[in-house]
Amino acid sequence: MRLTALIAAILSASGVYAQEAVLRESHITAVRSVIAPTDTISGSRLRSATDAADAIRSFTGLQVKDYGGVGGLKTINVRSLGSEHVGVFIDGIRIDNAQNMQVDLGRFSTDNLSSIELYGGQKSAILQSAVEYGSATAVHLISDTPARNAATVRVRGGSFGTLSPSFRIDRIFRQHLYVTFDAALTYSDGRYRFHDNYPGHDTVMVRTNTDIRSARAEARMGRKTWHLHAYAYDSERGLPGPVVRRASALPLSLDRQSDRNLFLQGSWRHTFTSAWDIALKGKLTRDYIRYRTDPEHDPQSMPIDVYYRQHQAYTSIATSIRLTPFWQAAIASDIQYNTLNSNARDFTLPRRLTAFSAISTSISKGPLNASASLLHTIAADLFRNTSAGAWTRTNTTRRAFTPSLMASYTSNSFTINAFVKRSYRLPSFNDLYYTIVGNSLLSPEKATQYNISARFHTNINANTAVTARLEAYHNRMRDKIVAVPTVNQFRWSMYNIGRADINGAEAQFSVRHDDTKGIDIRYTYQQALDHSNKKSLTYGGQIAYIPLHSGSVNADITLHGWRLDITTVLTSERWSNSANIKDYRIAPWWTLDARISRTIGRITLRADLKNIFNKQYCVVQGYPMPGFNILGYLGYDF
Amino acid sequence: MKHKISLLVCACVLSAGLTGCMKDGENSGVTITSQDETLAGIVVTAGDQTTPLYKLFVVNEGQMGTNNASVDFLRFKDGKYVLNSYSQMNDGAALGDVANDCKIYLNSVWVPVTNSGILEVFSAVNEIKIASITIPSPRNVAFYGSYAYVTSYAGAVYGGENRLGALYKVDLNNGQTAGNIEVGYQPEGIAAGENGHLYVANSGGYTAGYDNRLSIINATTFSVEKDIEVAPNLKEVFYDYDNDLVWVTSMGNFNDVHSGIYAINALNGTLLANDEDLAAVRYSCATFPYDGYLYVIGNDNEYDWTGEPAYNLYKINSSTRTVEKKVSFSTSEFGDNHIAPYGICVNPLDGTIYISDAGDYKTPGKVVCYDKNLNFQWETNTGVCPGHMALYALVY
Repeated sequence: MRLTALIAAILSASGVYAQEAVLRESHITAVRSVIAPTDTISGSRLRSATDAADAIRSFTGLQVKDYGGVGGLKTINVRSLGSEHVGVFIDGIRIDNAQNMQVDLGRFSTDNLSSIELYGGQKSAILQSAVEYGSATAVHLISDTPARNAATVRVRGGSFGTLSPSFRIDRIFRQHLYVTFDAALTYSDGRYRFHDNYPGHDTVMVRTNTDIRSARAEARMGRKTWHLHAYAYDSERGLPGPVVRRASALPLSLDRQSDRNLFLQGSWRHTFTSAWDIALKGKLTRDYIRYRTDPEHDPQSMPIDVYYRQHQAYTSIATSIRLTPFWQAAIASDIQYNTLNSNARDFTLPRRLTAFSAISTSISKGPLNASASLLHTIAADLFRNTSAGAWTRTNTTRRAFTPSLMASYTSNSFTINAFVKRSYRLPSFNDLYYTIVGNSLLSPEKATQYNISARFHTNINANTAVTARLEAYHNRMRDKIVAVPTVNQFRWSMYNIGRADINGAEAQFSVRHDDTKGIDIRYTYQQALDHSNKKSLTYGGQIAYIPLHSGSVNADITLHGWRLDITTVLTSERWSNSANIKDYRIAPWWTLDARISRTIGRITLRADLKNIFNKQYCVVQGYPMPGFNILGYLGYDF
Repeated sequence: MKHKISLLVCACVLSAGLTGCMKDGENSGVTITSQDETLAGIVVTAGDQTTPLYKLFVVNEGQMGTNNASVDFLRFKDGKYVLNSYSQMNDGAALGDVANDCKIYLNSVWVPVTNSGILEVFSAVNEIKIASITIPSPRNVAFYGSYAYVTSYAGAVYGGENRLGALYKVDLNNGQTAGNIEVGYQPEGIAAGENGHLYVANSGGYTAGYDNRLSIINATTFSVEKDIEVAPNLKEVFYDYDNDLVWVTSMGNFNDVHSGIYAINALNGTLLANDEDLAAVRYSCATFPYDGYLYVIGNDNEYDWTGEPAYNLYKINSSTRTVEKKVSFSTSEFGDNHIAPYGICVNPLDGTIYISDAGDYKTPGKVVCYDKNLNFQWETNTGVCPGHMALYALVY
């Protein structure tokens, strides 16, 4: 299995064969992808990550916006387009957040995944849902499919007072029907020391109000052609807030957040004839978040106790037809309904109905592959006008056509791929309707991507494979939604005034020898320029939090049954504002992690040593990251 | 700390603030030297050896959550503008998160740093820290007798999403807080009158429907004597000793009530009616330099957020309560300067006008200087979100 996963990842570069291998482990509902993922992680390297965000932080072109600590928000930004433009999918179905379009990847465990794939453009399987054509970039979490009856108990624990027991049961029934159940509890006080690196205050402080308690339960069942997935997550955590100067008699923050997330999703796929396929997908989601302050003990805070409850219903139908041996066409149609309720003052109770329709076609002749798609998105909102008290749908319909074109040429060991893609990000409910701040006249954000990549893969000998990838892109962002002050600093509102131009290049080089040694080297160059306002100090500046240079090295070696993994991530200087002046400069940082693991019979042991050199750094200004920390893992298979 | 503050109090018994001090200092010039003269600065204007003023302090609020409030100043004798002087003079210490006021008491500068829960006191001569006084969510400060009075969002009484604000008092003899009382919702500006009264503007900025009351506090008994309903979302208060008037500004409710400025008879606590011109005044920042005039900047298009702002400068005669002059920023009188005014300060000696421009409120702003006839003089970059300015003359 270990090898298959890795080889699968490498081979998928050169075409269709690999899909079969991946399919054995997971249930991608679509095959015959014309494009390989930009980057991918699978196998033990994936499973040993603390969460999905941790797993992919060494990917090219990707920044994890990490607020630090066990419970800290972790969103991702791919190719400087902003986290709202990253579609995050579980088994081909999008995790949606209509409130703010952000997905916290720190919530997702990697225990049940077979791989995570990143696509610079979109995943271009011919039979996919219309939403999958929608986002500018995409991260796909792909669940594993159990192959045999098994049961596992695991416990993780270590730094930050973390303890997380979990178990999983897999059962296989007749005709390859599988049922799997997984549950985990996590408790962590989340405390860690950091150097308060504000000038003049080089003291060691402790991050407080960082505790988190969470419970997660998941059940999945299915066969080759259908899958069902139920997910429940409940958590309560402290929000430590940014580190700022605070009178010593007053706490920094005692704010709390509770979350409850439920979803049920399913997919079904049927082949009528060898030339005609159909796929159905559906999802129901309920997300609840409550945020509250504690003014009795934290006099700095204003009394707030507010909840937001989102519901989503989603359904998709897609069908593909093979017109000639080398020509395919597909149609997909998705409908989604979102609601957001809250006890916040003057809340507008927005509802949104979105219809996505996509047509696509692909031609595959010899080494040549080409595909084209056209997505039509129409979203209609309904909200309560708080001053008039009446429901309104005036000016709330937004629509767009977003095309993409892709072509590739594959020889034995070499693939060249190019794509052009337009995409479109709907304004979130917060952008449009947030009390006072929201501006219901917003238009969507538009992104255009031009991308070219080359991949090379060869087997030097029977045991050693070399892969190299070079990729260059230009992204144009228009009508970016930006918060700006209006009358004065007390009144901010959202406007479509942001413009950005992004030039990027990525390089990746991997060597793998058997299953015992391997190294991946990745480098990313991103020039992401703010072109919003010619008169502003920010014009022409590098966009906030995007490093010009970043890179990572992953290496592993197995000796006498012991496996050692080393990961280092390096980031050049950044700015917390696109005014690139020294007040906003964030120092470059790098970290080194190591992991030692061993499986002895039914027992798996692992020790994760993170940030071994105890580097003091922050990804987000004011949110220091933990120094050296260690997490242990013990798993037992029944 | 105790010692330093006592010394300051001993240094001068005059408490009328700038006016009193400057009358003494007429044409004497400033000969003091300070350690902060070693700090690098930009010469923005010709040095003035004759003015009794020593510095113009500019307090930059900073961007919330980024701990970047800062203090700049212009030194008149050499025309040098020095950025970030507080931090430089205190071994790189940060002032804190969101500075909300700048008041000068004798030779010290008092800055409430809202999100740090600190009322910071430092020397006006060399910016070296004198005291950090813990007050939760401090907003604005005024002085009366031997106390500093500080408005705060953080009252002890709250329920649901509403919370009353408080007025703290700080003993100038020892720098310790000496009690607090409840006032209205989210109190902002405060001014002391000569009749033993303090006036607090309650904004209700975090409260449904806003607060609209001016609280009149008896400084001797330290209790609220009376609340006067003025207009929603009150902001700044100025006390006119010559005419026994309390001027209070309102930011409006951002919906159907516009911003404006109002006068209250300090002797009987009644709200005076505005004439047509005064009622049409829009407010975004104001100053009262004790030269008999209020200088107010407001935006005529304040609720038309998609359009261009239309800022005006109003010069209001405090004794007649009439608008003597209204100048639009877009006219040639203001040159081609296209700015987002956030604070204003006027030198009462020569009428020089300083306007701070917060820009996008996230990146460094500017201070723009005009002479009394609104001829552009100079401009220079500041820290982030320059909002509060104060003129300082040395007190011997």
